[in-house]
Amino acid sequence: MKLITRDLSGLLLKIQGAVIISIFYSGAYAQDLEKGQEIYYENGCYTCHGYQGKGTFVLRANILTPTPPVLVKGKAAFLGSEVLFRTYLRMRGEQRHDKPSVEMPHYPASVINDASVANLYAFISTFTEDEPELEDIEAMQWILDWEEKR
Amino acid sequence: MSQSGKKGLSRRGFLGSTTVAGAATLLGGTAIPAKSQEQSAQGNASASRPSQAEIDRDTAVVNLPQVDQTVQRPGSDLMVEVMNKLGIEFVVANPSSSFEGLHESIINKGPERNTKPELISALHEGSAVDMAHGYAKATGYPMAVMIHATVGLQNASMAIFQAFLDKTPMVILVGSDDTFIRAHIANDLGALVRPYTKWDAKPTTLPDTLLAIQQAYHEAMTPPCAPTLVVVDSLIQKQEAGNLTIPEYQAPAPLQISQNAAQEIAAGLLNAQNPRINVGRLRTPEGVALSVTLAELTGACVGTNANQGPMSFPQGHPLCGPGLTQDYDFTLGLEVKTDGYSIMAPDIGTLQDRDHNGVGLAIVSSRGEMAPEQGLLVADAQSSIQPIIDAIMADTTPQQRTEIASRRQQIADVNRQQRQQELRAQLERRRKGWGNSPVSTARLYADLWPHIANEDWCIGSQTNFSGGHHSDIWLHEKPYSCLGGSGGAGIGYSLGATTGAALAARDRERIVIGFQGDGDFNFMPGALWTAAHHQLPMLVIMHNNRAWHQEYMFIQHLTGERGRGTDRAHVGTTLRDPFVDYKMIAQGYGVEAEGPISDPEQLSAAYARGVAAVKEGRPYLIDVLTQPR
Ligand SMILES: Cc1ncc(C[n+]2csc(CCOP(=O)(O)OP(=O)(O)O)c2C)c(N)n1
Ligand SMILES: [Mg+2]
Repeated sequence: MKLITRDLSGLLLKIQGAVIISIFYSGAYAQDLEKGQEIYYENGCYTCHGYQGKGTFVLRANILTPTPPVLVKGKAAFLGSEVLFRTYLRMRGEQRHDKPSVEMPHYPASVINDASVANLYAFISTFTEDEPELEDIEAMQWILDWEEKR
Repeated sequence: MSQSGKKGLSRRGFLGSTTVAGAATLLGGTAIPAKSQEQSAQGNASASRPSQAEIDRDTAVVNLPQVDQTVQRPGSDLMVEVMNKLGIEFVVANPSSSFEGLHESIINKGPERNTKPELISALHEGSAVDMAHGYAKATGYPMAVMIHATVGLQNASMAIFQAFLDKTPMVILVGSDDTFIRAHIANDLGALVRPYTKWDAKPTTLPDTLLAIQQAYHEAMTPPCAPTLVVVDSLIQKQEAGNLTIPEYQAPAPLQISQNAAQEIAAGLLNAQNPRINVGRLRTPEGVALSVTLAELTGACVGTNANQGPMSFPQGHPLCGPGLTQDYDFTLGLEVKTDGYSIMAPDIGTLQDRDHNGVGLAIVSSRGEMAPEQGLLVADAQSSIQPIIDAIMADTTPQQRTEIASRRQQIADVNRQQRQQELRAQLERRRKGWGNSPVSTARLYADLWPHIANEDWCIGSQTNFSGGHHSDIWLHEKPYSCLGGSGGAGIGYSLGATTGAALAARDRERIVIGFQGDGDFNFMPGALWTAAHHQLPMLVIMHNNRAWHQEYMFIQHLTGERGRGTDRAHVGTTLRDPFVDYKMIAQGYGVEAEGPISDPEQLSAAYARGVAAVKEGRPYLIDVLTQPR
């Protein structure tokens, strides 16, 4: 499945509180979901974000706190567009050498190139918040009822 | 070598006759009898490679020594009798000639052969010790482990280390045969694990060996509880005991708080309007029952650790919870620190003088000192509850009794409401990824609860790597509901510990659950065979993330920090190429199994099958492919 997206350019992005970076970018890449999925797996994005971007419940103590945001469009600013996403991946690697990442690893172009970022972005864009409501989860309802009756 | 005529055995006599082995070890000293000292020249040679003759002996290419006289009553029969009187239910071992006398006595000594103690077979000494660890946490009482000399003890050592840090009692009997393969002989076997055992002895006579086993039990059960060790000489096991009888045993009377302190605490609890008791880990279920009585008599609301570890206050008790308001005007901690009074047993750090070689275990030395803070009473909390109860019974006025009864009711209502709200919030958090494949760790736990909530259950494994979701959404009612972690964060513990908990459960109509990390599993999977062989009610649920995931994340983080990309972080940290087939491994060991399950919709039905099997005493493994954590 191929998707084409257009980027925003000249966007102001605020990341890590104080850093404001101006991004000038143009150009778009073909997006391949299968390749994106492979990159997500091979780079171990799932180790912290889960296979569907829902995050995980326990991470390594002390270092990765707070837990990573859910990778669902609308839930994390850096997923707003491919450019934002790429900038987010790149910025620690290429622009903040003085401050190495202590949360998510940084990904310079030498590690994940722009075309791969596009694929990755396309794959991540398929993630949705699709969990049922508490009332619709049989086990959870059972647990609540049991507690009430005991 | 007959000791049958020896008279007047007393503890004093024991200590006197083996000054070094007995008295010195009480002070943390080394147990090296004079005989062994003389042998030290030969002992040094023992580190050399085994000779052909020795290897022949070990591989049974030998003529066994001629026996010129039949032994009527072998020494090891008395050792078994001692264990029986102590209430030791199980002795776990990987077989070895250095304790063949004991082995034979356990399985054959009548009238009820191989019961109390019953011999349990382990495939690895580490596994054996982990079983004793799980068993002791589930029951509060020690079982015994028989271990073969230098080699077996070194296999066991990490597991002993963790049991020590986890303040768990067990009696380790190390077989020693000075006529056997030299690489298995040591002057001072106990030294191999001394910095992380509480007490050890190397008795040189049968009467002393009997006393040493009793004392090992005694020391193991006296706070700080910990593993203890007795070197059991193979010739003593086989010698004629004649009409020697086993010595009397006095159960330990652990240190109680003073009468004054008990009265002060009783008065504090009675006069408070909003008293609070926090319960940590007591020693045995009897202690837990006493803490319940204390709470009920005083109408105190109670904090518990039952969802994290064993021997704490039942979570579903009406008094368990935050209570009316959190401005408590009197606080008592039982094996847990509070800002009011805290009764706490000495920690294992007080045993640091056992570290003769200067190993310098950080965790031991840092726990050594207990600050003499106000309100901190260094005593065994469990043994100190009864005197407080006695003082309360004597001093409660009729008016106080009425007030307490009404407070109990109010607290029960508030706690109940609070628990229901909290449960809903905790479940809400765990909807995340509910329908995803592979299975979310939250669902791993949530889907199981309906299948076991109305059973008598116990979690034998550590649970923190798989999310520990039971803590917030299950109800931990029993002293053994949750046995907690390994004590030393060493991997490989969980399967053995779960098996040990299942040993404790076997004759008690209880089922045991292990949430089993794949990395942890692969250290000593042979515990599965033990479960199959002894028909243990054990349900193993694989938290299979196909990785030593913790380490994967560490490497990934570092590659990120160094800007080199994370695409190779899986090298050396993941269990891929090939994936491990846990169903097949389990089946190979004789355990029914299914999986891998990655579709969450299939999980509940698998749990139903697993629980049904386990309730019939058939261990069962379900391999679940999970989200990483
Ligand atoms: C004896 C021992 N060896 C190695 C380690 C390092 N270690 C810590 S966590 C871990 C991975 C455990 O894997 P698993 O049980 O599958 O849990 P996961 O991290 O995958 O959730 C390892 C190897 C350790 N703690 N103990
Ligand atoms: Mg794992």
